[in-house]
Amino acid sequence: MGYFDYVRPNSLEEALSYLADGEGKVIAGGTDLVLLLKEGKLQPQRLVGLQRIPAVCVMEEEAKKITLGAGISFAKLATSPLVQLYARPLAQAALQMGSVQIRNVATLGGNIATGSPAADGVVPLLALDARVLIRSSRENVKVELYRLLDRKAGQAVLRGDEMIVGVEFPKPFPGTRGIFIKLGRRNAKNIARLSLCACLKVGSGGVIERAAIALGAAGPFPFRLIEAERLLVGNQCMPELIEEVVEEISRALAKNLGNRASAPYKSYAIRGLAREALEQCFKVCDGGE
Amino acid sequence: MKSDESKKRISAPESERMIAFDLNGKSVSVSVVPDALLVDVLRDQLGLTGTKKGCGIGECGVCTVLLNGKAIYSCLTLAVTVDGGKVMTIEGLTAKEGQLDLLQEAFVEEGAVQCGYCTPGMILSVKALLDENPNPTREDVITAISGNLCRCTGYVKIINAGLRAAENRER
Repeated sequence: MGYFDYVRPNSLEEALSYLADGEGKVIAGGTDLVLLLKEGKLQPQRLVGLQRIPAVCVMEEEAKKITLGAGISFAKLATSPLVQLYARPLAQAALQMGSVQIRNVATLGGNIATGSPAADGVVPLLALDARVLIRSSRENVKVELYRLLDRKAGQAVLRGDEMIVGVEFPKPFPGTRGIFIKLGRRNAKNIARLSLCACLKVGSGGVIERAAIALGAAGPFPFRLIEAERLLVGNQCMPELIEEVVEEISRALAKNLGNRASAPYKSYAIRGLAREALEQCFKVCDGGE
Repeated sequence: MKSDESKKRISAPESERMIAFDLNGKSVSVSVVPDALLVDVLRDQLGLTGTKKGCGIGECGVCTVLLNGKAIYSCLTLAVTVDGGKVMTIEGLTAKEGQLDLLQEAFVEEGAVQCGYCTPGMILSVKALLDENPNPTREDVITAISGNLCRCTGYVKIINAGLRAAENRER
């Protein structure tokens, strides 16, 4: 590791001032960051610790939206009643991320900022239409998560002086059901080889009113499957529709992966994942919940 | 430009700083460099070698310690970040040297120790679970130790030991 200073500011403003020159880096759980420091891939002049800034750990429910602080750990996300109620796939993803030791310290903001193609927290947030709250000493912005991911394509998600303070997403319409599923090599600590989040709102008469499907580990960054969503909306929940959508998802994934070595495997494996997710969503919706 | 940059970094003072934290119930102060890892500070500066070093990348779990009651990997933790916190290592399990905690007894009774390298981490992961959930299911124990690798036992005896420790604590 190179030499760096470590500061623990007492307020968000103070933290942002330490980032202003672009030479600072926020450290929260550090489970990704410390590895990058060890490998010499990052050489910041200072690390900015967030322990004394409670503002980054808020969980807020308003009439139409939910706000989650960037400093919330995956362990908290997995067990929070608020997250389970309004963002069930995010709670499911959080529970499957890493191991106990990682979940205890790794944070939602870190998961987004690291910018991994397989980021478990990002896939459900995409399906939930999340916006990312970003602060710097210059400005205070809200960026749609998908735009933020577009910004990078393998590079850093954030500019040098920026910091993620939280995410917000609209409360799902009543009756919306969501699920997150991932494929990995073992249960604990697996980095997703492929992950999918589906959120469906089925109206009376079994007609799908809203659909959001996001994929992870299937390209440089997680993405939404707009075509597959279009196929679903306005149609009845039928087994034939599932098959049609599964084919479309597989096609979109193959297109996104191009001629990568993993493409044949993943475009086949995604069918099982997509079918399971859709069937489960439909089943729950059918159950009249 | 680039060489200036690297010169600046090399000549930058590697400033040590004092950190203070509760270690196994006693307050300690130690001077550390900002890039020192908790596992190294515990072993090399504080002499507590019960915490092991393995993969160094947060995969194997032999470096597990408790920070404020939660299991963490000390190989992925910068020592400066635990300033003001409460750390427990395997040495802090019992107050008296030579005495065994119920958890350690359960590991002995079940024969859950072979080479022993994973044992301190395993025991602390189970401790974190039992402190939060005194009546765990088999599944709960499996989840609790899923971030700790053991290459000898096949895990069954470790899981049994976790369950037995819960029973022993109840008594």
